[in-house]
Amino acid sequence: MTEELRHTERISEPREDEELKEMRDLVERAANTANPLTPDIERLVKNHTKLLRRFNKIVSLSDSYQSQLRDFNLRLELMAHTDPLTGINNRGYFMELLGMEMERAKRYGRPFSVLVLDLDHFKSVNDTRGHAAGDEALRSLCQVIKGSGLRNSDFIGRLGGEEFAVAFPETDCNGAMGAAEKVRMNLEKSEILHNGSAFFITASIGVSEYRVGDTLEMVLNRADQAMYQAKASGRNRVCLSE
Amino acid sequence: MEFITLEPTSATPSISYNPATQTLYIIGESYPENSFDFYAPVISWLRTALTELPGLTLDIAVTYMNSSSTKCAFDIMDTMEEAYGRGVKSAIIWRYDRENPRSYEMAEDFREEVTFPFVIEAIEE
Repeated sequence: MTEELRHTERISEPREDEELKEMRDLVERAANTANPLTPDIERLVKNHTKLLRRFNKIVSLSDSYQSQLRDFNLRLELMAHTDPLTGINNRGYFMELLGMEMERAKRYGRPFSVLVLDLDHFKSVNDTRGHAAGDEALRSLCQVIKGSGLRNSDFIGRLGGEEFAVAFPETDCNGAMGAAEKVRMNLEKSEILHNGSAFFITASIGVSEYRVGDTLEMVLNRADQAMYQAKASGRNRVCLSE
Repeated sequence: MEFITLEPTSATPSISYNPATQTLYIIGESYPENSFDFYAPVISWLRTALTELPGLTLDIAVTYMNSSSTKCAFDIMDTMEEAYGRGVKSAIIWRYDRENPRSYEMAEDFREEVTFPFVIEAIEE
């Protein structure tokens, strides 16, 4: 804002450059000596002043257009990273962040863990209550995950459909299991309101910890396998990868 | 006085003229590689039009301009200002983007440069 104010000042009062000052002196001298060219000199100085003012204005307007482009770029970047329904990271960006986290863990020999979460019987929510209710359930799930005591460094992503993932930097599988269990319990008791009626959903969660030599796919696959194990053993539970 | 309509491209606005209302429309974004070449025929047409018409309204909805287009916009406004001094009813309707907080302020910066009627209105969606 201060920067913008400064811009405005610069437009309304063009900088008195040396040249302009010199020209004004010339006008004064011409007038004092009753020089017949005085009106012409005055006109030239007026034009020069206008040009200077115009120049400043064009520069400042161009800056504004450039800032506008920068804002659009930022918005575009955000859109390219975000799942429009839930507002959390989309798969692509989640994988990018996870890749960086893995590099860090590899270099410094630090632990990190991931959970993969899949909603139970989500298809039946869509079939019986409609897709809008399903969408509401997905949004509600994201709120529950965010409200389950994640740290600032933890990050969430929507992997696709009703499958989500959370990455826990600097966390071994025991820590991640605790966080996953908290998410599962909070979700189980969270009422989802849609069109005046309320319903509940549960999730099956798999957790895995990064191991030296892992690729991203390997860590996620293990969490995925653990999630299927949670499904197979009755849903609404958390399983740790083998 | 024929006006050749310019179709919009990804870097240039559409430019058209409605003789019934004596309104020149410039709509879109403006960052041609050479703005002076692009706007030269428009300014030349405008100069003639302003000697023949009792009045002319410029209806402009340009959400992005590069520096040279900005310079051309001022040239167009100067041409209209000069005609206004001769009694031609020059007017501008400048349409700004409601979504963009800078857009209105920028319209005001343009308005400061003329003495003839210059109204600022939001672009209708």
